[in-house]
Amino acid sequence: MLAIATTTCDQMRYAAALAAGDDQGCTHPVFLMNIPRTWQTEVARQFYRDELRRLGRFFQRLGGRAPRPADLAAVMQRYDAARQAWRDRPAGCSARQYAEALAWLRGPLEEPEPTPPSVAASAAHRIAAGTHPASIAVPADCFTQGTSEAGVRVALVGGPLLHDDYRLYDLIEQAGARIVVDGTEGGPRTLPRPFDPHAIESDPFEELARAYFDAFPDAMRRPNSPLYHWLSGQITSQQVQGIIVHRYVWCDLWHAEVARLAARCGLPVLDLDAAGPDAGTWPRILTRVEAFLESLVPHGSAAAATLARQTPLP
Amino acid sequence: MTKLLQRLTLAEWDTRYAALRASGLGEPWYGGPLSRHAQQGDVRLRRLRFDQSPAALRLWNFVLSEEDRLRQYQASGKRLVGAMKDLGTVPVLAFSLPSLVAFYPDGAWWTPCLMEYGDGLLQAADRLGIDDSFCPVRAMLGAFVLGNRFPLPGLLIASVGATCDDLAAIAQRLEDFGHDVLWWEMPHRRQPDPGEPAVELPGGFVAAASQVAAVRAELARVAGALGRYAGQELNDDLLRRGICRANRVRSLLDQLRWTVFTAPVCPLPALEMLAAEMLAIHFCSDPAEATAVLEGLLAEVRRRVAAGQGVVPKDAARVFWVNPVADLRAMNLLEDAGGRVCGTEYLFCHALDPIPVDVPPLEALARMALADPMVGSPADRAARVVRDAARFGAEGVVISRIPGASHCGLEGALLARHIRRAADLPVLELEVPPVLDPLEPTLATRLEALVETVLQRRV
Repeated sequence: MLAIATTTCDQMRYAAALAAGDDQGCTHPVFLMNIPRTWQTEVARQFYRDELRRLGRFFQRLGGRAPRPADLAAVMQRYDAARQAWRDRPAGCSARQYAEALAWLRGPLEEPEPTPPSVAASAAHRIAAGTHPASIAVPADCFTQGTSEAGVRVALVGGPLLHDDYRLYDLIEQAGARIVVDGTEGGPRTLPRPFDPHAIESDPFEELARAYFDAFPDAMRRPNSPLYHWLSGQITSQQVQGIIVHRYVWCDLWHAEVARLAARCGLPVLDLDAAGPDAGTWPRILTRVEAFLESLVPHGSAAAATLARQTPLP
Repeated sequence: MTKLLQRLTLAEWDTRYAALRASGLGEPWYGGPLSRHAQQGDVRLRRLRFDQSPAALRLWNFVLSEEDRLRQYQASGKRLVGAMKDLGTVPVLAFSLPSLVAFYPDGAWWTPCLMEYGDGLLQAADRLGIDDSFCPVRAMLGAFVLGNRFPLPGLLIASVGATCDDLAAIAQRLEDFGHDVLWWEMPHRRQPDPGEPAVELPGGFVAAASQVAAVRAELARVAGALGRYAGQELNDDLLRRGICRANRVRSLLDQLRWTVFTAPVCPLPALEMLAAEMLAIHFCSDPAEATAVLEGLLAEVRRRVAAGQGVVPKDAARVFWVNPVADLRAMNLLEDAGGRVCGTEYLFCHALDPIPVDVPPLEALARMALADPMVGSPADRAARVVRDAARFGAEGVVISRIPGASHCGLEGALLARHIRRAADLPVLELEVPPVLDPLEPTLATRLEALVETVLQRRV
């Protein structure tokens, strides 16, 4: 087994030390990749390139081989094409389906250039069957519900979601909201920008580094203003009515953004703190989500009636 | 026979101060009785016990008058630089320019302790959503918002990367209030890969040469910003002089630490040693005076060692202390429990080690910055603790966690495991809040247990 961690937060950094178990003589290969927090300088970009190269050497030491530029370009183009179909969430696709599809896109693509519907079906089928690398234990019917066009339009924002916490998507949408923006770490926010075909041809490695490093807006970057630029655009284009922040209790980086999100976006914000997989917390989360959605919907409105119909009884 | 020098309460210090003045004690401009600081709000001083020497009096007055000093500098036309997190690097750069004065706004993390929460800083941070799940450095946000602690600096510089999420998150909030921050990257220090060029850092850590080069480039960017702010280029000659001045402070601290930690009878209390070590990171805004304060302490300590005088019994348990404490009173508690501090790693050993003078100045500072114990692995840091504990003859280790600090939770356990395995020393891990009074019985009992363990192991 090998593990790759990044330095994007203190917990990851120290978890890598724990996983390495270097004080106990363990020999699991653990690679801790430095991801610069700053992004506006050539030094930071060069640092990222150097780390990508170091990651490559790490793989080579474990038996891998350095790709020829043409091979690298081919893999990049394959992923780019797959991502292209999922840059926007397809109509009829639930937030969870979309999240599962994006997780699939980040894994080893086994099928050539799938189209969105077949990817959704394929991913859903494989996840439900437990054969997908990103499979999680969820009821199969959650992939066949689709999603209502009605409901309060919310943005779900935050760090990574553990697989068990993907249930949050279902819970929010079942409570009567429509997640029109997935700003969690696994969502489209962190997809690399589309590759430039000419740049791929001339220097695929450079294009790879730029497409990833220059593109992703995140709470951990300094300054993290790109996160707010991205979110602001999404809020406007998707007519977001409220923001749900999901953060783990140990995550200072997202915790510190909660008040800023409310102040900067001018929308109601629900701060959902979670402590990892624990079935006991779901009723609490459901109650809080329901209360939040109720506060967003004027009494007597059509949306309120929809919400009342959709919200499951406790 | 050892003569024990009693540690004094604040009230006892007033009596002694009057006697010293009557006998002709001379003081710098910031001198005066310690109790005036308590009257001005630093009420925690009433719960502490202090060394009785004039040198310690000067130390405390120097440390506790920093905000006044900063205001005087600002009024006199000097330009203030707020350095954040790097603990020792940016001030060396800033003080190399005669018109700049650097300080650490994050030093406000001790204000809630000193004022026993009466400062309102944490409450101000609470109102901004930075609650007590963050480390007490959140007091810095309150200080910026309330604007009633230190004069606001015209240039803010923060290291970010493998540093501290709490500080990075809180410093980001400052930008919402109109305080632009110059962020510079501090990578996680890693072991060089096989065959990769490596550089030995001050203190013995090793880093990949490419990492040193990256930090050097970042420091060049910082130096450029400082030069523009000062209206004077920060050239190598100025930097060399700045490094030389910093090394003088570091050399004095090295001698002080060696003398105190290895003396058969502890000649200076842990509390004063903690305050003295803090002078290394930014010279308490006055390098020349910091040097004079340390020279006074060193002379006092040497005199006491020669006279066989000490502040705790000769058989006190020799304890190595890891991490700074949010409540200064914890240092008193250790001595009350029968211990003494013999070695410390307060998260800034890189500010204590001599800065290399045989390489270009920015290269030297980059090596020093990368030697920060926080930016490396827990294994690295533990190895340094083990090495220094052996050097100072420590018999036990206290790892004091900082409440809410994102880097402390996992790191404390990892450090303890490393140290136990490598040094066969008893390790006590505890957490010290900004005002420890509610936990005092528990903390005292745990420290007593460590002391008892150490004493039993002697048998």
